[in-house]
Amino acid sequence: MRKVNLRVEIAGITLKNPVVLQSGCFGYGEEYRDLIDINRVGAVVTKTITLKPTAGNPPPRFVETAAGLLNSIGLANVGIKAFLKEKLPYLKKFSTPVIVSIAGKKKEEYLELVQILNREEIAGIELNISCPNIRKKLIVGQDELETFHLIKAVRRKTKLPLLVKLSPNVTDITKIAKSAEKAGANILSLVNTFSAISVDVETKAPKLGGVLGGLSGPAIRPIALRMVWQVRKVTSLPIIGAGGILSCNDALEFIIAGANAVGLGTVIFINPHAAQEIITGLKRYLSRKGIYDVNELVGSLHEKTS
Amino acid sequence: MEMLKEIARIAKSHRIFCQVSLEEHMACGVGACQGCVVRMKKNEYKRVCKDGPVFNSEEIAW
Repeated sequence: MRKVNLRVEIAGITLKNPVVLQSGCFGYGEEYRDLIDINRVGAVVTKTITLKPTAGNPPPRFVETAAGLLNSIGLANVGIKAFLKEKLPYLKKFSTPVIVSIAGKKKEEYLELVQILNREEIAGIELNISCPNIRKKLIVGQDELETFHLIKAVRRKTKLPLLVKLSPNVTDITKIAKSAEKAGANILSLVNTFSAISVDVETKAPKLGGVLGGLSGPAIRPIALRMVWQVRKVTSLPIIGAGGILSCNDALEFIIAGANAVGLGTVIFINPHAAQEIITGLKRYLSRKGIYDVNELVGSLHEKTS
Repeated sequence: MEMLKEIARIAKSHRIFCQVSLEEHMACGVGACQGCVVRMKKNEYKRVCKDGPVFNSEEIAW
C-alpha cells in the first residue's frame, strides 16, 4: 500500500489524522481507557466545562429514535476547578492535542473560563454556543450578533486557537459562520445536535425529563453534511464536520464536501473502535484513489454547473 | 421503578435495610455520557452504570 499523508494542520494545531473525538460522547477520556487509544486519534474535545459544577437535566436523558439518539444531558459536568485538578491531567499524558469545550450562562462566564484556561497547556478552546438542552429562549449560536459579540470578547482574552461549535437550529448557518469568522474564530466545528422531542403516547408525556433534547446519529447526517457544504462555500476557516458519522465512507463524504477534519460523537456509543476503523479506511481509500495527501480531498466535490 | 419504590417503602416501614438494583437507558455504559443518572436525596445525580446499579434505597430520591 502506498504511503499516504493523513496529517492535517488546522489553525496551528497539528492532527496526526483528521479524526476528532467530539465533545460530550467521550466524557473526560479516562472512562474509555480500556477501549480507545487516545494517542491514535487526531484530537480530542472534552465534555463541555462550566464555571461551576453542573448537575444536568432530570432523567430520562436518552431516547432512541429511528437511526438517531435524542439526548437531554444538560451540560452535566464537574466544573472547571475539578476538571483541571482531576480530569485534564489524564488527557495531557497523550501526544494528542486536547481541546477544552466551554459554555457559560453569560459572556462573563465564558471570559472567566478562558482566562483560567490561558494558564493551561492545551491545544485550543471550543466555545459551545449551541447546546440545545439549556432552557433559554434563544441560544447565542442562533443569533449572528450575539455570536459575533461573544467571540469578539473571548478573542481579546486569549491567544489560544478558538473553535466555535455551531448550531444547526438556525435558518441560515452560513450567516452565523461568517459572524464567527469576522469575530476572530479560528476553526468552525459543525454541527451540534438538532432540537427535537419525543412523546410517550401511553402517558402522553415527553419521553425526556428535559422535554426537548438534541438529536444526533445517522438520522441527521445528510442535513449536517449539507450545512458543512454550505459553510465551506462562505469561509476559508478550517472546518471540523460532524453529524452522524459511523463509517469511513461517511467521514469521506464530509471531507469531500469541505471538512478539514471529522468529528465522531454518537458512534462512540455504538462502536468505540470507530475512530481506528475510519483512520484505516481513509488510508485505504487514498491509496486506492492514488491521492497522496488527505488535504487534497478537502472540498474536492465535483459539482455540475448548469 | 414503581415496584422497587414500593419495596423500598415497605422495607423502610419495617426498618429493614434495603438495596435496589436499578436500570436506566444507557448510551456509553462506561460512565462518560452522564445519560443513565438517577436522582439522589442530596440533590445530586448518580450514574447507574458506574456508581450503581445497586444503591441503598434510602439514598434515592424516589
